Amino acid sequence: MRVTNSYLVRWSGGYTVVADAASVTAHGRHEDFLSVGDAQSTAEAERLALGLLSRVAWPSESIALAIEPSESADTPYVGFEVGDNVVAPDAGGSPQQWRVMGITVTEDDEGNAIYVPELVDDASGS
Amino acid sequence: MPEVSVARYTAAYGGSPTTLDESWGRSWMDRLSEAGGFALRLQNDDPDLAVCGFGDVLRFSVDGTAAWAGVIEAKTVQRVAPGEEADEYTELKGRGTMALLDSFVVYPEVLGGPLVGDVRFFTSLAYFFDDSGLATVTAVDLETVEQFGPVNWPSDTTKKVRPGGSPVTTHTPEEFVVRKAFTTADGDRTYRLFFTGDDGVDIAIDGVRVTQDVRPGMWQETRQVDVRLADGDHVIAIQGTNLDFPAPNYSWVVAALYTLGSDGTLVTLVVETDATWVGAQHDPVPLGFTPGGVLVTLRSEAVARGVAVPAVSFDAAEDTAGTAWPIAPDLSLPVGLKGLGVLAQLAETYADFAMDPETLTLHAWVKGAKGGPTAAVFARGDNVTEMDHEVNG
Repeated sequence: MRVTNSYLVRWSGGYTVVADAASVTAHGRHEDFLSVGDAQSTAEAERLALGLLSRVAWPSESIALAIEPSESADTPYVGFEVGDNVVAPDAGGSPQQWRVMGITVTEDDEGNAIYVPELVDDASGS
Repeated sequence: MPEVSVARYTAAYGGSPTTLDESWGRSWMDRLSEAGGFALRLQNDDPDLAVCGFGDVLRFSVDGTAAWAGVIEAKTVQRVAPGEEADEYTELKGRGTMALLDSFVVYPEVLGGPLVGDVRFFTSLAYFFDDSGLATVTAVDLETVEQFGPVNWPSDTTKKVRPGGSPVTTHTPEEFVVRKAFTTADGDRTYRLFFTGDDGVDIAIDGVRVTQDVRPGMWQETRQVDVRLADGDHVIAIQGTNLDFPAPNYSWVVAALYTLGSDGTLVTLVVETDATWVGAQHDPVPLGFTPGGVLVTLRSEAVARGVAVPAVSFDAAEDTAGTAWPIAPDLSLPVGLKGLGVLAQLAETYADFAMDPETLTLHAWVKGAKGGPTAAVFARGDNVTEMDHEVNG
């Protein structure tokens, strides 16, 4: 299990514990340690921990696609850009909405551009 | 397939661009809220190579649409044996233009101020920095009015203070702040600050927090912290709370600042709480810095120091799209943190960032709000040649 849903948080004034209760209920308790030594209050430490928990407390899904754009709509920077939502297959092959978190462009030896959008499931991309 | 093109601009984006038509091996990585990076190659005898200097900007376009831009930061010259000229080339590398924010670092609130920690503190409490809306506090005599005075308090003249007039007769959880400007002229030296409150205090001097979230249980205790102050004008601000007492009650804070002798004795009382302080009660709604406000503040400070920092399309109140920033709770940034590090911290929780490749302007959106639905649809057997699927659970 790679989910983390409870942090022992070290901040400048001591320790506190921040957990995602719903994830603990769903997946059992999975702890980790987080040091936020610059945080000056428990509130700030908790906010930082909750920000991380929002990404790691639940299973996440991501894909990297090598694409061959055929029209403007599926052409990077023309039809979509980083931050936008696109439709692509999920693990089972069904169309799903994803958020574009990155685009990598690489030219091969023949000078052809290879476009690879990095997508995350929309819920974890925010 | 969409065509990639590249043009070189000066760092100021001025003048005519040089199109790098003969470049090859071009690549770039564009990631949300990150600088990313690029690489491309030019023959060593290509005249375009000579105009590509460190700090110049390369703008990559896709089918003529400006896509992404990077700053030239490194050159690797590849030379081979005579007669193999085709392999004599230079590879240019760099990061995205977001890296231009790495030209400044976070400064302390006040140079020469109290060295109590290497942290720049942006509090949600605007009153820590702003006197507007504050009124003279009520001062309550330390020894006679309140039976539970802090033990071993060093000054008989110190008053407990609170804003809001007479003590309340029914308990209401409250938060308030009190402030006082004072001047020191004893040289750069250590001062000892005594403080306590009923039932919690946070104290900042010149915007730098000198206490750490001191909360209930301290109201009969004399606490102290040593701070270092240079000569000049200073402001002490105390955030007080009274959130835990169930019966009719009221809050107060007390503080006294002394110069400290080399033997550790108290020498001179510099400032202490009394009726000349100003303060105000406030509701629990955060009042101060937003993510945009933090960046705008740091950017304006850097510009004032002469640093060239990209323009921004947002302000302290609204993001690039005109959406109001959610008011942020406290944010502490290490002094010396580079601008790109500030972005990374804010991107964790508060904002999406991207550089405009056409204007070199930094855009920011409330986190998750950059972009939106598009008509792009990808499917295997149609426009997807490879798919790498990862599920983490």
